[in-house]
Amino acid sequence: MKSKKIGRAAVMLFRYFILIGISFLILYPLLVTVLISLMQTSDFLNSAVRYLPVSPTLGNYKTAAIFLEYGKTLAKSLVLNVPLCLLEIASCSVVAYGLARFHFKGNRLLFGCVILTLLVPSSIYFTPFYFSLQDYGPFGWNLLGTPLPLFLMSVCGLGVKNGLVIYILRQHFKGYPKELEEAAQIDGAGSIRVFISIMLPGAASIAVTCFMLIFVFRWTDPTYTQIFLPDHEYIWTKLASINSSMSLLPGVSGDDHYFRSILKNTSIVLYIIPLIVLFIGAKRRLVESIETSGLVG
Amino acid sequence: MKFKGQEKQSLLISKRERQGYFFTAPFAIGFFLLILFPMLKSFIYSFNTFEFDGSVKLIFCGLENYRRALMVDTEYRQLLLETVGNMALSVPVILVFSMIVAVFLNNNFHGRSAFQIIFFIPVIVSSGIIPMLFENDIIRNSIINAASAAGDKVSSFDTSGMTTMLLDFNLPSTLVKYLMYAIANILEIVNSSGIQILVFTMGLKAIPRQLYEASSIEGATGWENFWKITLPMIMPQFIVNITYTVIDAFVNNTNPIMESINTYNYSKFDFGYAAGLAWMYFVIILVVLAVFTGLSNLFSRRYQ
Repeated sequence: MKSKKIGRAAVMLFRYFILIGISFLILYPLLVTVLISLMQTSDFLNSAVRYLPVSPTLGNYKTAAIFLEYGKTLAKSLVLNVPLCLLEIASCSVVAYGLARFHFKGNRLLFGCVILTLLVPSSIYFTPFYFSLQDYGPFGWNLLGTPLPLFLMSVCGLGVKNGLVIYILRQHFKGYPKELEEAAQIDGAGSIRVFISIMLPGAASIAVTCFMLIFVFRWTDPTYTQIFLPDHEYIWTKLASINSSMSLLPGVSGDDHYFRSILKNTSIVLYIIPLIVLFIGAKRRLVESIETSGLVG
Repeated sequence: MKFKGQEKQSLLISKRERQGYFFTAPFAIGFFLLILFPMLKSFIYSFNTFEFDGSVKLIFCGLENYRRALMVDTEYRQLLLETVGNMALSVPVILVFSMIVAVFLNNNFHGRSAFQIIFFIPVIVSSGIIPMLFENDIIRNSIINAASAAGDKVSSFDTSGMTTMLLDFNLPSTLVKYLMYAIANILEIVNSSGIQILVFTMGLKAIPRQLYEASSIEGATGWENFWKITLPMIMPQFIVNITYTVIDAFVNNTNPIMESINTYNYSKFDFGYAAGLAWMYFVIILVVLAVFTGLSNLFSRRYQ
């Protein structure tokens, strides 16, 4: 009995050892970013400073917030992204349910298409799609500069890496026993009813994770939005402009690499804060949903 | 002659079929209009060059774009070989690594949720806009690299000592080389395992506890449990991960070929050539993916 206890403690220790080591690998580059965001230009020139600034300052965050117009652009980006992501998770779970639970001609082919959306280099379909937007459809609408193409893609489950989410959810829905549906059908529940009251509650925890994934993909890869809505000032537009714009703020020369680096690192911290908040919120929801649903797997 | 019951059943199937079409319709329509149709157009682009004089003009040039990619553009060929080679090496390591981490994270222990948050960070910072911003941040990179020059290495390890030691133990040299490859590229591997860890975690969570309890009563060890219960139960996630890892290695925006395609497409506006490059790349991805899924199907069938 005692040796078993020691063995368990050893496994525990080994686990912590490995996990802490890998965590350090992940956190180190981020830590450097945070530390740079606390530095001043004088710290770069001071040879005694490697990681820790002489007098840490939060002033950079103020500067970065002014540069990014943080409040305004963040709100604007969220107002665009949250509805898009909600549409995507809805369409992805519906499509995944259809692919997982129904046998119809072309099911496998359609699933192949889902995978195809993941592995086609996006520029293949993007450029022609973009060109066609100027007069789109039979009525020749000009959709350039409107958010409509983005919403169109989201409704169809074609947003950033949506194929992966469909794949994950399909794999999950496939795991339910067939009898569950048959029993529901005998009770007179249609397949929409089955989807809403049996499938979805069971998939709650996975759906929350998938929503988080969708949001993160869209947030960190704003290519679509940048192409369709180039004239609007979102937070990623501001962030990307750090690399390109010559003079960043009035009174600062564009050649000031130190200032540029500080501004960049600080802005990146501000940029990923919403994601961390979302993750922590989603985790709490995740724990609740597992406890309340009672139907996992 | 048809029996009544049979007719009813066939009617039922066709209803199910109709419902299947109904649920998948959004994707099917969207795929046809927004992906397939533009893709065909892009295929035509790849046989043309573009000219801009007020309006966009397509000029047919036959296989010129493909010839240019394979014969003239020496960089493309080399990048192609490098990408395929790197991918073949890294996919197994990423899968094993993310599986180990997911299994570690699956049990209850102190600080588990903190670790879960940390292991999600690579998903945020390793693709999209952020690595692009970091790439030309000379000052940040010098701070990170100064650390590795000073001895506390982060991004690369000196593995020669370890190699000699393992070879002294009479381990096969290919295995040792491969292990050293994994160790030397650990940062990259960790950074591209975020999604895979998440997918495995989802799969592990769905395994009913009773299975483990029953087998423990029968006297099975944790090691046996892993091979007899955990692995078979997360086979579906395993296949998702293989597919995704191969795809991600190819079409991640930080991949050099994707970078060059994107440059031709979005900055140089050489749409015809970009389409040619992308189509050739796409065919190669398809072939590699087919090989990998074929292998994994073989593996999972033998396993069951």
